[in-house]
Amino acid sequence: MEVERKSAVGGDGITSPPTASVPVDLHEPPVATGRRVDEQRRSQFEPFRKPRSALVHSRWTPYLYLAPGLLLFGALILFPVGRALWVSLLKWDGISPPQFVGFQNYVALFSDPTIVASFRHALVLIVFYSALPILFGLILAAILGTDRMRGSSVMRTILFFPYVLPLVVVAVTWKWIYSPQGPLNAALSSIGLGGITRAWLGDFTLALPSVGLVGTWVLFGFAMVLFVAGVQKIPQDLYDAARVDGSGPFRSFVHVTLPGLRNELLVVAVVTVIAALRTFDVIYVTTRGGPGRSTTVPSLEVFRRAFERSDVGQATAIGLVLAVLVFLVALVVIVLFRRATDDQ
Amino acid sequence: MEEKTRLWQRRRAAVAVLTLLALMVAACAEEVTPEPTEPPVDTEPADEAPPDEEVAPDWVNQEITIEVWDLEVTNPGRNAVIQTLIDQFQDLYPNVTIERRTEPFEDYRTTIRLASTGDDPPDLFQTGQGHTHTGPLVAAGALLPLNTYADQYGWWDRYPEGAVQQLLFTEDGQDFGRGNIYGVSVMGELVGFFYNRTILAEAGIEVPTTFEEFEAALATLRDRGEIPIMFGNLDQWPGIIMFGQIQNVYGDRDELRAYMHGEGTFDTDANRQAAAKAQEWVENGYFVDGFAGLGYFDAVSQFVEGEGAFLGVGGSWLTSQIEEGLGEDAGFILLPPRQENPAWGATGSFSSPFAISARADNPDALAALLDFMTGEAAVAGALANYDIPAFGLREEDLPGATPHGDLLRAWQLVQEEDALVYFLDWAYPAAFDVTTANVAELMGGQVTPEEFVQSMQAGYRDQFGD
Repeated sequence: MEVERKSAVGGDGITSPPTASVPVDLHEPPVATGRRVDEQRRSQFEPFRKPRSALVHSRWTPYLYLAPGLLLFGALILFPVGRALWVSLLKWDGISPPQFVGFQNYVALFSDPTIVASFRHALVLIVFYSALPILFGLILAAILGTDRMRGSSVMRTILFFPYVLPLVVVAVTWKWIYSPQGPLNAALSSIGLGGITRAWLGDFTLALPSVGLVGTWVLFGFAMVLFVAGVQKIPQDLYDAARVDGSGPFRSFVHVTLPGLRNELLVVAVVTVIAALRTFDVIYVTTRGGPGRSTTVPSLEVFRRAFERSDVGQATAIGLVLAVLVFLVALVVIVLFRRATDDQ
Repeated sequence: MEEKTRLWQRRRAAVAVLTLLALMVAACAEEVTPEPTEPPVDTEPADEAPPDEEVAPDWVNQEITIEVWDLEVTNPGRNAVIQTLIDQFQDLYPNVTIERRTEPFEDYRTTIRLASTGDDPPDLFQTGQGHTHTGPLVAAGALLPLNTYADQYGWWDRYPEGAVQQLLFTEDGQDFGRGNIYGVSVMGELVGFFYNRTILAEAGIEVPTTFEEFEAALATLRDRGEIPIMFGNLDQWPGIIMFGQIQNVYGDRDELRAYMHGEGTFDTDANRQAAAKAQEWVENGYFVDGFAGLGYFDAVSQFVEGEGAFLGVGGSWLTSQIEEGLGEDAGFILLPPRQENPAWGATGSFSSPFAISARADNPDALAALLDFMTGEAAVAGALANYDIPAFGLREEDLPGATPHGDLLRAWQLVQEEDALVYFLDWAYPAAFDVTTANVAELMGGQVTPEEFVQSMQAGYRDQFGD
């Protein structure tokens, strides 16, 4: 660290700002020479100033730069959210005059077993959409991340492909795979596991994990790609140092790779957790929330209440609660990561 | 210096936060109610004299453009029929130009609500029956009551009374099944079981005519290793119809319709028996293995390919597919009634009715178009496209022993008996949600018949009270 500071002060003229003719060493206590030293010190670090322009240097300038973005943000995000807050306090079918009902929609939300179950299912899906892809992504990054294997970049492209597909296409395909006479059951029968074949999406216990695995399949490639990029940033010296210290591949992974991937882990965790909580397409196309209510999720309930039950107020309330939940969970993930990585 | 900067920073932050809050409050205070639809110009149709032979109505002499919206694009047969009817009407009345817009059902459902209550509604458009599709539109004043036209054109005489009830709503949109008539339908829908003649013949089974014979046939088929009922309930809605058919065998048609209209109850012995019977069929293995995970249309495809003796939830909408796949090797029966229950019901309805906008410029012309489209002109097209015309079917029109012929004869019987009891998801807005989930749980063995009945009744009570 000392090295860096000295180069800023002494200066080679390239990396440091223009220096005064009198070199000042910041390691020495400031000499009480009054204004001239202050001026010199300041002039070392402040750029040459042109005469002040009222517009450019007014204290409102930053806000003017922010204004276009703020306007868009206000119009596209704040305004709809504010309106949603209002609608959630109404009983409204979408076309007739609404009726103000205060917090009744929120009370109903927390007392309706179907809606509560939908949130529970969304949390369960975090395991499938987030934890499993991270696990698989790490394993694959460890194997395929360093270009040492032949064809590893081809493999990475292939494994990333599911993430690129439209979710509806994915869901329709998996619906076929899971169907009672579909390829999954056929494959299981062919290897002698005919006993466990079943109607996967029609089973009250297994439907949610089955749908969850669709999410795993979609997202593990995303995790893998990010982790591979992260792994390639880790300097080889660290691995060499670890090997010299006598650690095998697993310990290198835990003590070199994982810490080096902490930023990528954070990004993947936040993105996949949000994907889990707000999932809609996959459930809608495969099970529609069934069988019974065993795979319903909040976004599906929003859709149902808005368009099938003509209960727009309730739908909006669910949507807002979901948004708050997403925000909170993302916050928890970030805080946990910060805390875990601060120990490094 | 630093303290002053911090102070300014705090003030700027405060200003920023206040601005954001102001924006959000402005959004809240924003007028959220949709532009109120103007009250219908005429709650009664215009005072013009009904057209008789001597006096032609005004609209016959004017150049008129009519906008028609429908949802029949997905079914090629129906799509063709609607188009033909529109073309024929324009030929009859060259002064009338009809612009048609058609969308698939899923999209149409959301579009029509906003369009019909918005600034420039279409003149003639399909709605639906029941609370989900039509109630809100009636409540919003978007639909013209058609009572005077019904009297004038004699629509009341066309259809049996119980069937007509599905076209009625009270003016506030709260009570389905009575009040004003808000639409008329071109086609009909009927549900039963298509059957595979070959498989039945090989099993030595005659086409069942009573419920007991039907159950015996299922048992025989299962014992021989055939799939008794090919059926797919992954999409959940077929379950409603499957249960509905069993319910109709045990129930009374007037009571079943009263339930649909919000005046009945689900807590009846008949429903308990039906629920128990549905579970019994599942436990006996009468349905194809894994039906809970099989898609409805996948099941239909498998039936057409020769798997399964009976096709569950064999609706009239499948007729063309069955005819083209199996032809005369297939037939159609309603779920046969029990001899002890002469007041049996049949699962079926009219197709989505066409309604007239309350703010339409030429209601008389639209009523004439509606009368034409739903009248005998539709019969030829319906017959050509394996469909059921809502009205006007004559004995001599009926084809022979084909699936379509069986279907039409069944429809005639149902109309003679006035046994149509519609679909369970029409009873109230949340009915689709509640019923699909409950039936899936019943058929999945997750609840007892009693729990099922109580759960259904709870959903019903939430909407209507006791």
